[in-house]
Amino acid sequence: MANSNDKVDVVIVGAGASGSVFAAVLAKAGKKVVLLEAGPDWQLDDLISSDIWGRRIKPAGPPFLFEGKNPYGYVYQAGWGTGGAALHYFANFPRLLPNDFLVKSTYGKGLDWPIDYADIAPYWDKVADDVGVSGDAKAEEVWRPPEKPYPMPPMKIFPGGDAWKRGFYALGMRLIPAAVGINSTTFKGRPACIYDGWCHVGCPIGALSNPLVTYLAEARQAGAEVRPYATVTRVLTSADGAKATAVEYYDANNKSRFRRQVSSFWRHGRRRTRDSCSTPRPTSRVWDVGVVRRGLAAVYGHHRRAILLLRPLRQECAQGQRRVRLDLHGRGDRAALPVHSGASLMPASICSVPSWRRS
Amino acid sequence: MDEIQRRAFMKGAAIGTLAFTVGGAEVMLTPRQARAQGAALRTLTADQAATLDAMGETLVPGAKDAGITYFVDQQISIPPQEALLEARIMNVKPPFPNFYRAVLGAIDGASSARYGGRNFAQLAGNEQHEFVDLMRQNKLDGWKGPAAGFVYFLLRSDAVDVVYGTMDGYAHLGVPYQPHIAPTRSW
Repeated sequence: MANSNDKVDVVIVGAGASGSVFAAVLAKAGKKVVLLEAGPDWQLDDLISSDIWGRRIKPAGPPFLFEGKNPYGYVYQAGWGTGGAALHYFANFPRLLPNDFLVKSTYGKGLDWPIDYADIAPYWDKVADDVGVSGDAKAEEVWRPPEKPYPMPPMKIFPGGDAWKRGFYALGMRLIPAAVGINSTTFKGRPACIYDGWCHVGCPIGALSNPLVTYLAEARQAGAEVRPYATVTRVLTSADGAKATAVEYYDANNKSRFRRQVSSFWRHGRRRTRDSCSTPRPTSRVWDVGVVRRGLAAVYGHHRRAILLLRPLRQECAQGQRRVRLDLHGRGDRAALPVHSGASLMPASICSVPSWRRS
Repeated sequence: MDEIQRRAFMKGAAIGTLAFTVGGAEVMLTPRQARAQGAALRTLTADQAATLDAMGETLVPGAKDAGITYFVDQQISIPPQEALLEARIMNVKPPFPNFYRAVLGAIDGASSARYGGRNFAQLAGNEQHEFVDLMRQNKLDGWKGPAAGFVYFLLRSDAVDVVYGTMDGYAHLGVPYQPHIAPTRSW
């Protein structure tokens, strides 16, 4: 492990979904990379199959600060420690559709993206090949241009998913298997999913493509260092703000502050990190360009739940039980409308349904 | 807590129990066992415990014997970053003892105002259900504390945790647990 004042090529704040990708790419390119992660360095055997114990991988430490008239609760969906939120995500890998990038020019509402579908499509294919995605690309061609097949066939569909499928088909609507970053077959030495339904507290067998078994593993193999319990407080810059020169953080004991000299700094993700930067901020970063801030769009969620009396009673699902429906496109809707159906709830997860009542 | 101790705690999840004090000695028990063995409460008073027991049992039958009060009391006594409470992941700002004291005070305050000076634990069953139904809808006059509907949501989560969130709870429901890595002692 490098000393805290050693100069490194790149410091990445956060070892989650995006930081892990940057780390893998840069470390494999020969850069000396350090990831400063505010939370623990989770291992696969930490991922206990329990709704209660699974909360350990949700955020802790310094609380999030929310602003605005309608602050949005963030913690439930977020992560803490290596892997970040992607340690307990549902591994949904939906693709946008071509007109999602041209909402303003097509519908006169919202904003057009500065890039279009063709720009980003090759990267969806690349990520699918990198982490392993199961799905039916051919079926998706109803809505999007043909691209590469997914590296694995779709996940199994269980009775809960079939029940939803029958209902949608009865209404003349189309459901297809969702593209998910979960192994339907063995992939790159990682086993196939066993459909035990514990995706939301972390998959310890590596069938689900969390960063511990994908990009972060690659980064470590290429020499990247992860420093857990390292909370960044400031990014120091050159006088003109053109270059990040050091990152200041405190360690696991909350006592010492260190400065790690950097020749490059990659920041991403949470606002608290962005706003912790000293002034002037380094330039040529994504949010300084203004694209993200101007074009940030909300994704709304709308839930309908049902209790299906299926026998045998099983929680068996993973996310493979889900199907995704996108066929509302072209009927006046202004953006892709993925509909996930057939996911089952754990007994304790019933509490995540605020409107649910016994009757 | 230094990193080695923290790591030990995290690995402690593998035994699936929590630290309680019985007879002056710290032992690892499930909340149900802690209740059965009369473990000492760390943070809540006897009155607060009675209110939480009654509320938990009203929300999810079985929560009292499953040890909801011992679960919450133990969890709010440890560093917030180690807590397993639903409150932790619903943006409740630590310290959690303050939140739960405010919650239990609000429940008894509103109960007392509505039912002639009686705390929630002293209400008849039908009154407790009426109170909870109003609390759920944020319709309790005299409620002073965190939003009543949110309190309903969180305490119901705590109650479901101890009754149905465990391996025993799954077995009771007839749902196969199917763990990758099981918490031992069924908790």
